[in-house]
Amino acid sequence: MRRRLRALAAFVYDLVIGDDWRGALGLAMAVAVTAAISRTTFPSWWLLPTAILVLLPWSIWRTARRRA
Amino acid sequence: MGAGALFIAVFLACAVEAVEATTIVLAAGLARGWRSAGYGAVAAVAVLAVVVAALGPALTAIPTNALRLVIGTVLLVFGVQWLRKAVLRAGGVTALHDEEAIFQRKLAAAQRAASHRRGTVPDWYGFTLAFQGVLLEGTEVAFIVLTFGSNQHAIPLASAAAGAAILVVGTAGFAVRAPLARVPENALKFLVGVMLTGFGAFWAAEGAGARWPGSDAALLVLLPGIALLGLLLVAGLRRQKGTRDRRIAAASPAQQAS
Repeated sequence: MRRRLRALAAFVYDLVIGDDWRGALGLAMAVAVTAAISRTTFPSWWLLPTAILVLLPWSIWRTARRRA
Repeated sequence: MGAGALFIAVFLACAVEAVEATTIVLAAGLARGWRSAGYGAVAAVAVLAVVVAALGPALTAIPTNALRLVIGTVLLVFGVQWLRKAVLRAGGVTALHDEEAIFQRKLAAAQRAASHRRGTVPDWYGFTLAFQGVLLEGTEVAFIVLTFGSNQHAIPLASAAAGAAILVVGTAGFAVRAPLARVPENALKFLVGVMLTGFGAFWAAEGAGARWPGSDAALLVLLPGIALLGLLLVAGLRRQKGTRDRRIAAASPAQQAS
């Protein structure tokens, strides 16, 4: 049972997060910061597009460099 | 997000997965017989339908903002992963998904395996090959139906879009009895990655309490913006690869001469 649960957890991890946990963590943190800024009077909509703009090239650059 | 946009987004995402599942079912059908492969495929679709039917109503019962925050974040992470893979493939860093090669590999493995009957299934290997293939590829279909459908409170429409994609791709694959290698799979994956990332970011931000300028109209800027970023990254990777290949080509004759 424990082995099956572990296999299911590994499958879900691979499905959603894949092989770049740093990128996933960065995006999750960006959502958390968006929620924090939204409690103030400052606009917070710009944070997630900015996170994508930074994290996607960063993740691709690291993979490309590793495989070169 | 309108009903039409929801239908198109889910249809395209599910069509990509259906192409991959069809390749496996075709290999199972041609090598082991259509009856067992058909049973396996239908059984896997039934399991996925039960999962969607069980989780769908439970998800739509969650308050909208909490749902958008959680589902949007998961969709954003999932979408960026899809887009990243599509960019790496298009940029030549990783190999393109080759349906023909996958089909030949699966077919050869299926032809080698021993046959045995179990219950009403004439060939258990053919059944499990088709079942596992459809279930694995279909999990992403179920995930997309649940995330898009629950966010828009339109799980039946999202399920219909997924069903239409499976029907269209499955019929095409069965008609030609060959892998759908001509489908521009990576281009579709890029497009779907852009949509998943864009809608994920939009919903996650809304769930977190952000207000988008122009409300839903912000998607008209967000989606092309993400697509442009992806295309620029592909162009950058291709240029880098071209420079590296030229450098290697220039170095080879020099090495041979020495």
